[in-house]
Amino acid sequence: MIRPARQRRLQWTAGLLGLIALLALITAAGLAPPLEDAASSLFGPVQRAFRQAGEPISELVAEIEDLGRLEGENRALRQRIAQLEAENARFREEDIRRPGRLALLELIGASSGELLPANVITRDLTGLRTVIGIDRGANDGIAAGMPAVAAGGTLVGVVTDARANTAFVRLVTDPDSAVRVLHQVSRTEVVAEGDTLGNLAIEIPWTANVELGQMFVTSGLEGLIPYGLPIGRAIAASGTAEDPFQRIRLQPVAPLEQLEQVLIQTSAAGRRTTEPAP
Amino acid sequence: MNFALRLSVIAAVCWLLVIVQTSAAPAFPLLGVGPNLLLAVLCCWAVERPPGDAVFAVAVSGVLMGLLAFQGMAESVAAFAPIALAAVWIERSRLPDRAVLRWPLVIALAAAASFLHFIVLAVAVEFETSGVNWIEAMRDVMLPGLAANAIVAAVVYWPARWTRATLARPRRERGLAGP
Repeated sequence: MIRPARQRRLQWTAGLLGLIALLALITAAGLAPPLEDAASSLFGPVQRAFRQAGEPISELVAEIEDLGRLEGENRALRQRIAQLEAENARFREEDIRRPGRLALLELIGASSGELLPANVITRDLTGLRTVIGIDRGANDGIAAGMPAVAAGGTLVGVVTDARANTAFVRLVTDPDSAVRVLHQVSRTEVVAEGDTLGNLAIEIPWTANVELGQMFVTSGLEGLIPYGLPIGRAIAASGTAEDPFQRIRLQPVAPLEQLEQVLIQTSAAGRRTTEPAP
Repeated sequence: MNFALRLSVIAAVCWLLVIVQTSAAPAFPLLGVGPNLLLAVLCCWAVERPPGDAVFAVAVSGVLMGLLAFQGMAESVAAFAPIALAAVWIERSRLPDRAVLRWPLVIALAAAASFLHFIVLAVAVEFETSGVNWIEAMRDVMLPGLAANAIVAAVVYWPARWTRATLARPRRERGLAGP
């Protein structure tokens, strides 16, 4: 005969396992997204309030940790540098692409895409993925595949899941992310992939002669991602001359760790369908 | 405190902790990672409170984390489940109610729970994505997270113990009794 205490322990354990199985079934049946959307809509403002309330404290802690360094000013300067880099990259891109611009404009139309601002309300907490949740969803016109950009027009990621009032954006450093990018100097097109540690890297032929510091921009040859958005610059290279490709690690231009707001390009205008002549 | 009120209080505390964990906690990195305050508090709960409370807190926290963070509800509950099982084991072992014994236990439990929490979520990520670089992920994510959570648990344990001891005292001793 099972003693009461042991019976109670068995009940708790079985109850917990039963709950896990039930939740797995709910997820498999596709009932989880509406629940998650409702919870995010309900508690999103509270999360945002906590995030905003915590910011001054976290900045103070960071300043103390940095022994007096003005972290806030540093962050603002970094953001400004990122913006200037993005602008610089765009100007260079304009110079390079000018001959093909007229043909491109004829092809895609001169109208620019609509940008919808969205607040970041949550981000992945496992440390193994780089996904953010935003407070805009399908009701605002957001759909899967739309690009998300940061200040300065740098690519942040792509919307992967749009619910009624919320959406998830997979950042370019996520292990599932693969974005076609263009080496700005050699015009070599490659795929930039993320990994579970939040790195962004490409494999590119040696003939591209990539130098550290050089910029990569989106090629625009996939989905709704427009052409020419700065994505990252080369910060490290590895591989030997015997390898057909060298591996280049990219530093994302956008401050992915400190995103508070992103812009979702809700229109496909600006998308390139063919490769214009340089 | 009656049963329903106790569960309501536990659910409210868990909700508050989940909100803090999903919004503010990532802004306070410790050893380069965002510490898991929720996990640390659940570990203290497992050591200081009856196992029924811990099982309920784990279930509520897991479901809420699944709803408010980018991780499935089942994975979240499974990731916290070892803490509930530890609470059951602690009750069974009839550990003396002495801080000198329970404090190291909380730290050890936070470290072990962090490890298992990481493993469960990493396995889920392994299935969802192109794969996890386990060696680097353990070095760069799991180990710092484990240490950070153990540190947080070591600090959080004392207010948790004080709260439990205070609530356990009769109302008259706490100065809450009427005339």
